[in-house]
Amino acid sequence: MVDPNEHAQDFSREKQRLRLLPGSTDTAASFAFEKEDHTLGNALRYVIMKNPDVEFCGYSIPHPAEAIMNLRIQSYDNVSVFDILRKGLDDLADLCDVVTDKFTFARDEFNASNPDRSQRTA
Amino acid sequence: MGGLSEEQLRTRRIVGVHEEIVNNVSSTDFPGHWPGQDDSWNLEHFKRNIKVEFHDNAPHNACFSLIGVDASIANAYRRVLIAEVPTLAIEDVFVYDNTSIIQDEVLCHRLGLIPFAGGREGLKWMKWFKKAPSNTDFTTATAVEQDEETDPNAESPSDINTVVLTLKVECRWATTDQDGRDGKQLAREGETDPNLRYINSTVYARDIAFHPAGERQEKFFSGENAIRPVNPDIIVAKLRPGQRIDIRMHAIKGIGADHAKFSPVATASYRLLPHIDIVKPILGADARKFARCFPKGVIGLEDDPESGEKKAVVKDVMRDMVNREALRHDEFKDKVKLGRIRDHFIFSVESSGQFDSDDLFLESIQILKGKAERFRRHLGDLEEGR
Amino acid sequence: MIIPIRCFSCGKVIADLYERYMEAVAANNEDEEKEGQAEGAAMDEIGLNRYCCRRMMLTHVDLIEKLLRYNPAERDILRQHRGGR
Repeated sequence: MVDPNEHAQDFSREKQRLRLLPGSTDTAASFAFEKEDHTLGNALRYVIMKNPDVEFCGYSIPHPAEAIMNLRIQSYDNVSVFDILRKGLDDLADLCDVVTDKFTFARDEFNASNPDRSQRTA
Repeated sequence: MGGLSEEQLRTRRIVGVHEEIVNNVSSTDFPGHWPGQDDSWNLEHFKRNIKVEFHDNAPHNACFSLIGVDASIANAYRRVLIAEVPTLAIEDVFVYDNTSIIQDEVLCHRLGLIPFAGGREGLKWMKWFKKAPSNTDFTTATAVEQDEETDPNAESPSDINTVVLTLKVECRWATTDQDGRDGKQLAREGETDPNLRYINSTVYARDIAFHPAGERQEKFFSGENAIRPVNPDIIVAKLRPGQRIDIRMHAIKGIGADHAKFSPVATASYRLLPHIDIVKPILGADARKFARCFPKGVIGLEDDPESGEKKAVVKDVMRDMVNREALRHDEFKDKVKLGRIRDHFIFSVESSGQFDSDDLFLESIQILKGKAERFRRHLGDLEEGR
Repeated sequence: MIIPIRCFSCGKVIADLYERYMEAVAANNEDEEKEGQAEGAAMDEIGLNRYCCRRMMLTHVDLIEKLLRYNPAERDILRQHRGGR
């Protein structure tokens, strides 16, 4: 029997793509995300900015020919930027789960009530 | 402190479109922006607010509204759909014989653009094939760093990362023995239709044959799950008698960021829901003129009991395209406000056929989630000093 | 030269629609009601809605049909055929 997920869950070979840029402190740090772009950058910036402990969060892609996205986080009240980034990544994952649930539900409902799968007449 | 009132929360959702300017463009739902307003991330609150409404769900074209998410999230899904959902496409072509008038490289490029569908499970199971830079190409060899996570076998084609397809077509005259008509005779009589004169004068995508390699490919890609072109009628080339194409192709898994041929969508886009606010009643002849300022069906006319005249009402904003014609006329001054709803995204996902459009969107959500989870792991490693 | 596989701008597959398009145009040209709009109506029929895909069909010149006439193998066969008679 062939398992379709036979190599889906093996992260041991995964390459570290997150770096801490020099000059960082516990409450103000820049992270370099390798091989990431606006897709993750802007989405992550949004969820992190939703955190009330965050004084500032922004991202940039320093050079278009280098696949690197830098994310800057500054926090209030000695909250660790690592905790903030971790919460941001978790929140983004949770958000995706909610969208998946809602989307699947809405689609199944739509397909059930519209057997021809279309509402448009023209 | 109470934060924002219901009314303020409503206006915060609207991007204003005025005669010469747009205003209220950026989202302001961040903690600290509005005194007393709690805008911090709250999953329960998000769950309550988010809404998905479907308008259309054909396999090749889905149209739905995603309401209650920020532009950065909606845009991330759109970007993933275009550039990061993997599909199968022809990458390497081995030309054994090509005497057609289409040059080898043109023919290969055309083959690469043909979308292929097949068993979804199988496509998920397939591994990446990474072409090793040629050993004389030093610039590429040094630029491409050795990526430890790609498995060491990724550089050699095998049943786990490559699908083999062949195309073998030869054009000939139609003959009485084989086809019941004599093409040469027809040609002399002045018949111009190549389909009658010749056999195989047009090469279609359906002529491409799939050859399962190994036990696993036979299992994943058998029967209706076989690898096949989505559009069997694609014209690949045209031939004349004596011309022949004999080709072997390697199809691999790839993403749209590497080459547009891997992109699973023709278009994936969204627009914001238009918003038309009629502040003061527009009546009579003005109402008819007002309706003409918008595309058909956007503005309706209703009987107004107070004045006994026809009154303009908003009937179907989905049809509106936010033109500012209504703002050019003095009679509508201060009577109408135009805008868009900031968090109402009308998505349109048009699949090129490898997957259904709705499945593609779900896949894009999973890929974004996968990115977040991946960096969650990397963050743990970073803190431990690895 | 030959109809492109996909629309240059949006990536929709169009090469499979070309034969249907040519047939529809020919049919519309017979139809007096569609005088002067044969191409537009044909593109609507085959579902080319965006102007990027429409220009692909509308502006395509199928030059390959001209080039296919210059086939040495075919010429020999034809000559042989005539000579054999």
